[in-house]
Amino acid sequence: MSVASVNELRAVPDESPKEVRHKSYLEEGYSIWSWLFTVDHKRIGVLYLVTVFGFFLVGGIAAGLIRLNLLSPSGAILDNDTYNKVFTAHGVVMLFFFLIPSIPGILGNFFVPIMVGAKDMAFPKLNIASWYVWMIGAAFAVWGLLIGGIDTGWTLYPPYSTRSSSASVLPGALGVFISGFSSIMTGLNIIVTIHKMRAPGMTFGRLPLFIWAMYATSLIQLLGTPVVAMAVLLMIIERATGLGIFDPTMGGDPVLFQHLFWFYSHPAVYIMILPGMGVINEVITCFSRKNIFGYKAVAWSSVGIAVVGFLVWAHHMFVAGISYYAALLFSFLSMLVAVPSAIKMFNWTATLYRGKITFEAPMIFALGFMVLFTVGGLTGLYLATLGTDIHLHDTYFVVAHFHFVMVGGMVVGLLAGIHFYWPKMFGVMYSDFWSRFAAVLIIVGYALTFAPQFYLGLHGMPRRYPNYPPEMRVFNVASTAGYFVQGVGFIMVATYLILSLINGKRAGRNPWKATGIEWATESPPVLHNFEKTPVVVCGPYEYPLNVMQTGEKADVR
Amino acid sequence: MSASHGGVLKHHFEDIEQQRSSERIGMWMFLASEVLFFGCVFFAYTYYRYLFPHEFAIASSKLNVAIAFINTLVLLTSSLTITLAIRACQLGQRKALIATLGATVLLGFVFTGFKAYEYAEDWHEQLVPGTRFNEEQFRDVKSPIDPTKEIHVDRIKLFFSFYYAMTGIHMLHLLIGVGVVFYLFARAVYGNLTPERYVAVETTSLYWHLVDVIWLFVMPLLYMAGPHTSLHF
Amino acid sequence: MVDHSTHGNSHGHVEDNPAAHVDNVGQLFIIYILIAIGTVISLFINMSPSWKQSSVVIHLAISVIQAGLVGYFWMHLRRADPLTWLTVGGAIFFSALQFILTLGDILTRHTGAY
Repeated sequence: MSVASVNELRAVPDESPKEVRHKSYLEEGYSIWSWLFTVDHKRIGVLYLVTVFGFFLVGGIAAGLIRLNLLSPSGAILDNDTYNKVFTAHGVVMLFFFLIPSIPGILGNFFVPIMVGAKDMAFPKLNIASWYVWMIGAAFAVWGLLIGGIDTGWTLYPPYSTRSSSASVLPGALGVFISGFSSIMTGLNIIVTIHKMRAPGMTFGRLPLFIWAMYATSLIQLLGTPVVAMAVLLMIIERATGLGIFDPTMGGDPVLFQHLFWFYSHPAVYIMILPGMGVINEVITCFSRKNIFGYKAVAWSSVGIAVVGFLVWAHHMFVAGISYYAALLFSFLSMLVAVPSAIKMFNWTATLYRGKITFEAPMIFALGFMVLFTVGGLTGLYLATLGTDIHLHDTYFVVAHFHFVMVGGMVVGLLAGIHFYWPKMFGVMYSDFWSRFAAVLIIVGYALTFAPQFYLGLHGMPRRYPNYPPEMRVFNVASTAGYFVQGVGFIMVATYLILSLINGKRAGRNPWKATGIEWATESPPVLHNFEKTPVVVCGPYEYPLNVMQTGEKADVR
Repeated sequence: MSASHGGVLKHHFEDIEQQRSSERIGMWMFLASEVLFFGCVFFAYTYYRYLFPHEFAIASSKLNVAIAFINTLVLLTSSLTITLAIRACQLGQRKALIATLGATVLLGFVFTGFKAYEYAEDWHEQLVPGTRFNEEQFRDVKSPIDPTKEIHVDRIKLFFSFYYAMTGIHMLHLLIGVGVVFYLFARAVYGNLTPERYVAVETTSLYWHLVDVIWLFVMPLLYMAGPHTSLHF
Repeated sequence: MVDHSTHGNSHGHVEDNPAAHVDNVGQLFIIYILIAIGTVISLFINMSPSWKQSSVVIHLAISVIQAGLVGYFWMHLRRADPLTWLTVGGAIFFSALQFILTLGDILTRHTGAY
C-alpha cells in the first residue's frame, strides 16, 4: 500500500518538465506480481525489507513475553514449558529470520550492485530464488512454532532435540536448514557480483567499505552455512529415522554436534555484525565530512574478522567437556578476534577526530553503535578467557554480552543504514526531529535493558530460567522497563518511516551531500541503476576533496 | 547485444566473457560450499572411526564392495561423457552432444539402480538401525584388526547410520544432477544448446564432477573400512 | 582465458569463439583410464589377505590423486584463473580448519572407559 502511494506521488514531476525523467524502479510496475516475480535487485531488497521487519516484530513480541514473565521472581505470566518455547521462538526467529538476512538481504541486495556500479546482481534469478527459499524456510519454522513450539533453545542440541523433546523440532529444524540455502545463495551472488560486475575504474582499493564488509560476510555465508546445514540435517535424519549419529546410546557424541553447529554459528555472529560495521563506515565518514582513517586497515580487518572468526568456535563449549588443551587454544584464538574489531573501532574514532560532525539520525545510531559495540566486544573478552568463562557460562552475562553485540551492533547498525539510505531507496525524507528523538530513545532504552543483565549474570542468574531469587527483582524490572522504552522507539521509527512514504519531502539525488557512487544516481534509482555505465575516478570518501566517486563535484559544505 | 552471441548475453552483463566467467566462478563457489557441506559429515565419520575402528571394520565388511566398485566405474564413465559433452557443444556437434548428455543421464540412473538394489539387500540383511536391525548376526564376530577386542553392537549401528546418511545425501545430489543434465539433454534435442551457450554444459559438468569426486572418497571410506574376501552380488 | 572483451564498444560486436579451448579426446580417455586403475588398485588392496587397518592411508592417497586428476583436467583447473584456484584453496583450507581444530579437541580429550 505504502509503495503504491509513493508512486502516485511520483506521477507528478516537480522538477523542470523539460528534463527527461526515466522511470524509477518503483514505477516499473504496480501489480503484486511485478513485485513477486521481479528479478530486480532493488525490488528484492524491498521484499526483504518488509519480511525481515515482519519477523523482527514477531521476535520482538516473543522478547516482550520473556521480559514480562521475568517481572516476577516466580514467573509472572507463563508456565515453565511455555517459557521455554517462547525464548526458543525468540532465538530462532531473531537469528535465522531477522539478523542473518537483515543487512545482507535488505541493504546488501539493494546497494551492492549500485555501489560497484553494476546494473544488477550477477545472478538475478538466483537472487529472487533466495527470497523464496527463505520464505519457505520461514514457513516451516513458523509452522513448527505454531503446532506446539520448540523448547530446545535455538541451538537445537541433541540428544534433547532428537530423543526427549516432545515438541515439534522437526519442522523448526527443517526451516533452519532450508533458510540456510537462501543465505548461501545471497552470499554467492554478492561475492560474484563484487568480483565480476565492478564498473570501469572501480578497483578493489576504491570499493566502499560497506562492500568490503559485505564481501567478508558473504565469505562466511558461503563457507560456514553448509556446515550447520549438514549438522542440522544429520540431527533431522537422526530424529526422523531413528538412525543414530549423535546419540550416546549408539556410542555417539553429542559434543560433536556442538562442534559442527558452532563451526558455523560462531562465524554466523560475524555475519550478524560485519554488515553493521560496513554501514558504520559509510555513515561516520559522511557525517564527519572526512575520509576514512586507514582505508586498507579497515578493509582488511573485515576479511580478518571473517577468517579469524572461523578459528574460535569452541569457546561456546568450554564447560561442555572438551579437552583442556583445546580449550586453552580456543581461548587464545578467541581473543585474537578482538584485534581486527579494535582496529575498526580505533579507525572510526580517528575518523571522527576533528571532523565536522553533525548529529542526524543515522549518525546518532552510528555513534550509539560504537559505544554499545565496544561494551559488547570488551565483555566478550571476559567470556573468551577460560577461567572467567567457567563462572560466567550460561548466565545472563552471556545474554547481555551477545545482545550488546547483536542488537547494539547489528540492529542499531541496520537502523543507521536504513535511515542513511531511506532517501535513496524511496526518494523521500523522514521527519528529522522524530528520527533523532527515536534514535536517542532506542539507544538509551537499549542500554537500560541489557546493562542490568551484566550484573545479574555476574551474580549467577542463569540464562533460560523462568524464575530467579527475589533480591534480583529490581534489576529484572529495570531490564523490562528498558524493553518498553526501546519498543516505543521502534514504533516511532516504523511510524515516521511509513508516514514519509505517504507525505515525505522529496529527497534529491544526494540529500546528505555524500561522495559515494550510490549518491550519483537518481533517488529512487532507475531500473538499471545508472543512466549509463558509471566510470569511477577515486575512492568513496573524498569529502576533503569535495568530489564524488564518479568525478562530479559533491557539494560538500 | 551483438548478433554474434545469438541473444545469449544477458542484459546486465557488458560482454559475453564477463557473463561466462561469472557463471563459472559462481558454480565454483557453490562447489566450495558443497565441499564444506560434505566435509562436515566426513569429519563426523572420521571422528567415530577413530574412536571405534573395530566395529567400523566389522560393519564395513558387511557392505557389498562389488556394487560399490561397479558404481565407481559407472560414475567415472558418466564424468567422462559429460566432459565430452562440453567439447561437442563447443564444436556445435549436435548429435554428439545429444548422445553424450543422454549417456550421462542414463549412467546416472544406472548408478541409482545399483544403489537401490544395494539398499534393498541391506534391508533384507536387517542392517537398518532404528527400523530393522538384527543384532544377533554380530554376536560372535571378531574384529579383523584385533580379534581379542570386545565388540559393541551399538557402534556398529553408528556405522550404518553414517552409511545411510552419507550415501543418501550423495545420491540426492546425484539425482539433482541427473535432473539438470536431463534438462540440458532436452535443450540439446530442441536445438537450443548452441555453441555460445556451452557454459551451461560446463558449469553442470563441474557439479557432476564434484559429485563424482565425493563418491571417490565415500567409496574407500565406507566400503573399504574393513576387508572383503569375495565379490558377490 | 583469453580476454577478448572490450568495454564500452557501442556496436557491441566482439569476436566470440566458443571453440577457443576444446578438450583433447585422447587426453580425456587417458585420465579416465588412470582414475579407473586407481579404483582397481583400491579394490585389490581391500581384498588382499594381508589387509591392515592402515591401508586407509593408501586408499585416501589414491582418492586424492583421483580427485586431483578430475579437478585439474576434467574441471579445467589447468586453465582456470587465480580466483578459481583461490576458491578451491579456500574450500580445502576451511575444511582442513574444521578437521584440524576439532581433532585438536578430540585427540587430546580425556576419554573414559567407553
